[in-house]
Amino acid sequence: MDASSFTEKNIISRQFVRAARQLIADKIILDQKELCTKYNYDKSFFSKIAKGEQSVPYDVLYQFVLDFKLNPSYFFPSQNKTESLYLQ
Amino acid sequence: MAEKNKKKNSSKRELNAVDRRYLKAADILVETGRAKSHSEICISIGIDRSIISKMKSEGRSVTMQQLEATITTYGLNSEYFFYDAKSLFEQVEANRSSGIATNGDNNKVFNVGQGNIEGNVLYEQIAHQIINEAPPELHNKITTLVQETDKIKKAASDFKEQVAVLKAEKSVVEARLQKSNEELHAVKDELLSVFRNR
Repeated sequence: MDASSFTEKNIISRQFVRAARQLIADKIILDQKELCTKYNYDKSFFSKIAKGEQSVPYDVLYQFVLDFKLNPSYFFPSQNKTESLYLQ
Repeated sequence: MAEKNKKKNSSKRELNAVDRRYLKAADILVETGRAKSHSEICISIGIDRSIISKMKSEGRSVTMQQLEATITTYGLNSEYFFYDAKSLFEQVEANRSSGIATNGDNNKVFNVGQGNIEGNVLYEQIAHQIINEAPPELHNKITTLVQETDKIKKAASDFKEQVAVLKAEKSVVEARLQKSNEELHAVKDELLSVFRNR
């Protein structure tokens, strides 16, 4: 999903959705439901973020980054710079 | 009144790790001269100027948008807000092109690149890097010196204002003297003409 087609509420939420999908693709988590359960949210939580109905709460993002040892810069991308999802 | 204070204190939220790091980052931005004040940070990222002070006084939490705007506006290292012992400022680009790098002997070297960065900006970047990499004790001393310098600058500015006021007063007095002088000359001329006519 590129910048022109994203529907999430903001860039951080977009990156969160992308990161979660990447974790699923990399078989680090099973599915979106597992993620929602992990952070004590309803199973619709993820789809609401993906549809732009809500932003990712920062406490979730904070814990998400720490739990999966992710690169925070991935969620705060600067212009013309692609960051890797995982910490080097 | 006491109950009101009690209520106010009890409603203050405990700051979480990101909030605490955000406030520390705001302090560093001011200490290193990248921002003049917390209010200026708020204004530059397009939020209410009192948000940072509310974070301190009321335990208000940083929002994702606020964090993102601060990181991008001031070119901060987002890892600082999530992991321990990370530098607040982005260092990769500076180390590659200009600024401080470590050579093979583990000594610090200054790279003054041939980029399009003007000298003052470059040296300011190097100064910021030195300050950020300094041990806490030295960092505090630098902070004190910066504060002292600010006080001296403020005093100099106050003196300049006083000088300007005194100059204005001087020119008023000079104008008055000039007028008196002209009047005296007129009187003198009149007296002379009276004596001549006699």
